[in-house]
Amino acid sequence: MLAIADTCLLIDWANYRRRNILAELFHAIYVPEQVLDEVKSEGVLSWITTNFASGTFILFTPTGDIINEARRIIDIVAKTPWARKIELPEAICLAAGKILGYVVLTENRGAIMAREILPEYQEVRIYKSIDIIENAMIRGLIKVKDRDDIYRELEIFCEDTKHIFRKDDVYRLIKRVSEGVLREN
Amino acid sequence: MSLEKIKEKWERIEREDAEIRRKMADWEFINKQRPHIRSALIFYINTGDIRRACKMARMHIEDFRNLLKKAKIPVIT
Repeated sequence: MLAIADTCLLIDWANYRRRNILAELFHAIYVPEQVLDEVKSEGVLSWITTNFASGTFILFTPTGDIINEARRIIDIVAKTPWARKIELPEAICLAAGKILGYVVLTENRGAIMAREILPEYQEVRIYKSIDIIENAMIRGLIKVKDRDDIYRELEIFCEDTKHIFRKDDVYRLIKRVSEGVLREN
Repeated sequence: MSLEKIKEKWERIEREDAEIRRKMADWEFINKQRPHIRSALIFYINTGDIRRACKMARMHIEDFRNLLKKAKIPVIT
């Protein structure tokens, strides 16, 4: 499975102790140049460059068709008054998700809203961090044997990144992981 | 789902998240900041829009994320 990652998600995962699961879940993760430009700290840059060296991350230079599509998405969202506005880095990720079939790794709510606003984007797969963690649990990359373990694992992510998950997403994860993993135990 | 339903759903979610950010924020810390930083933090609390908040604060995303930690404003997704 190939993915393309946005800035905030990379910043969070650079600080997460179980960040190595990304390499086990995805064959490769593309990092757009526009996303790389937004990363400034030594810690996050060092993690990204280590992953470039290992081949887990690949620098993504968007072609003209991706840039044009990204600009089209930005314009459509801009004309939707209630929608969270999006900018080039996340729009490039979305466009690559549609045109090239990559899983879009983003925490950007504007990008998530855009997928719902644009009917042609509804098939694009978007994973937020909680979705990546859910997949890792279902595939046994993060071992959980009961609900307490699931909560503990989510707390670890929140502790490392100072991020909090919406309750409905947590309930959905518990339901899916319970169906996929806990039932087998 | 119709566009109207999508709008209602996201407006509810955005309202709930803004309320959580507002409650958890360290307002004493926020009110001590320089005006453009304070405005950017309040804008982030109300909208959750980090890219525009960064521009208002004239900061990079990572620096702004560190500022959010200091201001005890959670990032919610």
